[in-house]
Amino acid sequence: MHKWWSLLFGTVMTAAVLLFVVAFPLGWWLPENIAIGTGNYGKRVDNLFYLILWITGFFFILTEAIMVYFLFVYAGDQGNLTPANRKYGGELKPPSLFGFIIRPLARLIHDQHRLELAWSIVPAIILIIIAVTQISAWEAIKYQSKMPSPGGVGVQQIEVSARQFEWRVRYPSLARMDDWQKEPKYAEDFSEVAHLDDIRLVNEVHTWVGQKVLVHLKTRDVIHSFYLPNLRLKQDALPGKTIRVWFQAEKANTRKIGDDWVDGDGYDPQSGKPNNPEKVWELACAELCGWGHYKMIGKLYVHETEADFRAWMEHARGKQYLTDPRKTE
Amino acid sequence: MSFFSLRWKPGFRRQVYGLPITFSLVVLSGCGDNEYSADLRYPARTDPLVPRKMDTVPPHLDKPGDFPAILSKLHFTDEELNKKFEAEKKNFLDPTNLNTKTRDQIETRLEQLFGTPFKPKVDIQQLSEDVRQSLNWDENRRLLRLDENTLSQGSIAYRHHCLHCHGLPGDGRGPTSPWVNPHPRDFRLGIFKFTSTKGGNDRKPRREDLLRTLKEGIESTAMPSFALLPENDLQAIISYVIHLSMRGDLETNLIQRLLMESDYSLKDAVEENIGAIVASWINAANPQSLIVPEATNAVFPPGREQRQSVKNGFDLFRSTKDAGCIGCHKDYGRQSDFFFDAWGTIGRAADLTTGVYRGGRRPIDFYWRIHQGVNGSNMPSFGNLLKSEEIWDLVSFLQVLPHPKMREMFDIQFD
Repeated sequence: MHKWWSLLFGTVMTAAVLLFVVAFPLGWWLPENIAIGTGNYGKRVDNLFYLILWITGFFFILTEAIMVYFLFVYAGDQGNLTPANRKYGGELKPPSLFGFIIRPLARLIHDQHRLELAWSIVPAIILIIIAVTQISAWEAIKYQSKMPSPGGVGVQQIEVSARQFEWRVRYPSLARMDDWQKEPKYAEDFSEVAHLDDIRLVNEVHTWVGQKVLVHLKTRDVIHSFYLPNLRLKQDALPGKTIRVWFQAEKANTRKIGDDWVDGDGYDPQSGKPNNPEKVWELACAELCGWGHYKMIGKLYVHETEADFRAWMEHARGKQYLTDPRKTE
Repeated sequence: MSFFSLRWKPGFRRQVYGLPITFSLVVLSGCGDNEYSADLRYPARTDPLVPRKMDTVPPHLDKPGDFPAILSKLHFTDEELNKKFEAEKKNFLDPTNLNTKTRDQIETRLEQLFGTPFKPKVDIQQLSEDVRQSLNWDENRRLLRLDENTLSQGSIAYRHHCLHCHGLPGDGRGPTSPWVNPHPRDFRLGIFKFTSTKGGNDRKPRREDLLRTLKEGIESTAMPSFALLPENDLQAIISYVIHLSMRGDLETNLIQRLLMESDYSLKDAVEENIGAIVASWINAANPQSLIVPEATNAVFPPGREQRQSVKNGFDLFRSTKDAGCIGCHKDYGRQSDFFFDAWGTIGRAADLTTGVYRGGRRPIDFYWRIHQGVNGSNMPSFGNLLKSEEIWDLVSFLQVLPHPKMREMFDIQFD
C-alpha cells in the first residue's frame, strides 16, 4: 500500500470535518426549532442530538486520525518493512514520536484481550448513558399518557389522512370546538366520526401560537410518515391504525395578506417564491411511499393568535360551503 | 502492493473497472434536461376510437395491468355478456385502417397547427379568414392564454408532473396508467367530467374548474393535489392541457371523419372541426357560460331549520319519476352497477354514503354535478327536469347522507 492512501483518507476526513464546521455559520444546519417551551420536547430533542453529535464526533475524529496516522506510517512496499519499523528489527512498534504517550498506556493494556474488553465496555457504557438520557424525551413525544387528551381544555384536534401523494386534513368546525370546551366528553369521537360541518383541506395544517395540537394520524393506502422538521416531530402512519401525535408551535409564520392567509410573508407573484423562506414550514413525508414521495409536502401554518386562526377558519368555512360561484372561488 | 504492480488475474478487470464505471454511471444518469427533446413528435394515434358509449354492463373493473389493452384483455365469464361485448367492439374505429399517407398527412397538419412537445403552439393564424373571424381570435386568444411562452412553460411542468400518468399526447396512457384505477384522464376526447359551464356534451370546463382539480386533487383516485406548485406553473399546465385537448380532439375528429367518409378532404375537415373545438373552449371561458344558481335560502351545512329541505331531497332521491337517483345510485350508491364510459373505461355511479366526492364537496359542486350531469359518464343532467330549489334540497340531503348521527337527527331511515 502506498502512502497516498493515507492522504486520500485524511483528505476525506478533513473535508468532512471542515464541512461540518462551516455548516452552521452558512445556515446549512437544523431548521428553525419552534417547539422550544419548557413543556415542549423540541429543545430536548435538539439537546439529545447535540449530545450524540459531540460523543460520536469525538470518537470519529479520534479513530479516523489514528487510522490515517497508521496508514501513513505503516504504508509498505510489497510487504517489505518501512524504514520506520525496520529500525525495530521487523517488529511493529510505533515510532518514537508518539512513544511517550503510547508506551505508558500500553503498559496498562498490555494484552489484546484487555484491549478488546476496554474498547467494548467503554462504548457500551456510553450507549447506555445515551439510551437512558433519551427516555424522558421519548416519553414526552410518544407516550399517550403524556399527550394532550382529546377532551382536554385548550386542545386542538385535527385528523391527518396521508394519501399518495398528499395530506388530507380534517378540522372540527369552530362551533364544535366551542362545544367541546363546554362538554369535553364529546371530543372523544372526533378521530372516528366525520362530522357534517368538519372543514377539510389538503396539504395545510393550521394552528396558532402556544396551542397544543393533537393529531390523529391515518393513512389511506401505504405507509407514510408525518414529519414536521420545525417541530422535531416524526411519526410513521400505518395502514389500519390511527396513531396519535401531538405538538405545540411557539412561533408564528402566518398572517393575512390581502384576501388570504399566507406563510413566508407572502409569495412573489412572478417567481412564485416566498418573500421570507425562513417562514415556510413544511410537512414532509418521511417514508418512501411511491413515485411521488419526494413531492408529498404540505405546509404548517401557525397563526399568531387564536382570533386570527378563527378568522381564517371562518374564511375556509365560507369557501367550503360555497353556493354562489361568483364569490371567491 | 502498489497499484501498478498487481498482476492482471482473471476477474481483475471486473474489479478494477467496476468502480469507475459505476461511479460515472451514477454521476451521469441523474442530470437531464427540463424540456422535451427538440426532435420528439407526438405519436400518431393507434388506439381505437370509441364512437359512442357501450351498453354492455361489465360486472367488474378491469384488472391492474390490463389498461390500455382493456378491450382485448377484458373477458367476461358470462357467455351472453361476452357476446354482446364482442358485438359492440365491432363498432370501434381503428386508426390503423387509414392508409399511411393519410395518417402522415394528419400528423403533419396537426404539427403545423399545434407544434411539437418541445415547441407547442395553437396556431389559428394559419386558418382561413372565415374561421378566424368567426372565433374573433384576435380578442379571444388572450382569454385562453395559449401563447407560446405559457405553452412552453406548461410543457416543461407537464413533463415533470403529469406525463407519466397522462401520457405524451395527453392520452391517459402513460407508464403509470395501467396500475391506477380509475385510469388517468384521456384529454383527447375534449370531455372533462367536472364542469361548471352550460352546454351539452361538447361543453368545456373553465380554467377555474381545471385549477380546482389541480389544487385539490381528486379524492379516491390517483390524482394528487398540486397545490404547492407556484401559481404560474399551474396556469401554464392548464394552458398546456387545453392545447393537448384541442389537438387530441381535432385528431379524433379527423380520424373519425376520414374513416367513415373516405373521400373527405383533409383541409375541409380541419377547418370545420377546429373552429368548433376552439369555439367551445372560448365559450366556456365566457362568464355568461358559468352556471350561477338562483338565489336560495338553503343553508349549509344543513341544520335543524333545514329539516324539510333534507326530507324533500330524500324523497326526490328515492322517487321513481323526477330525479330517481336511486335507480342508478342503487342502495345510495353502495350497490351501483358498473358501466362503460365515453372513454371506453369502466366506471360506476358514485357511492354517496362514503363522504368522498371526486368532483368536489362544496354545495356548489354538488349543484353543478346534478344540474349538468357528469360529462362522459352516465350521470345525466337534471337542470331541465328539476327546479333550482329541488336541486338544493337534493344537495342538503346528500350532505347529510354519509353521517349516521345526522341521519337520525333528520329522521332519514334506510337499511
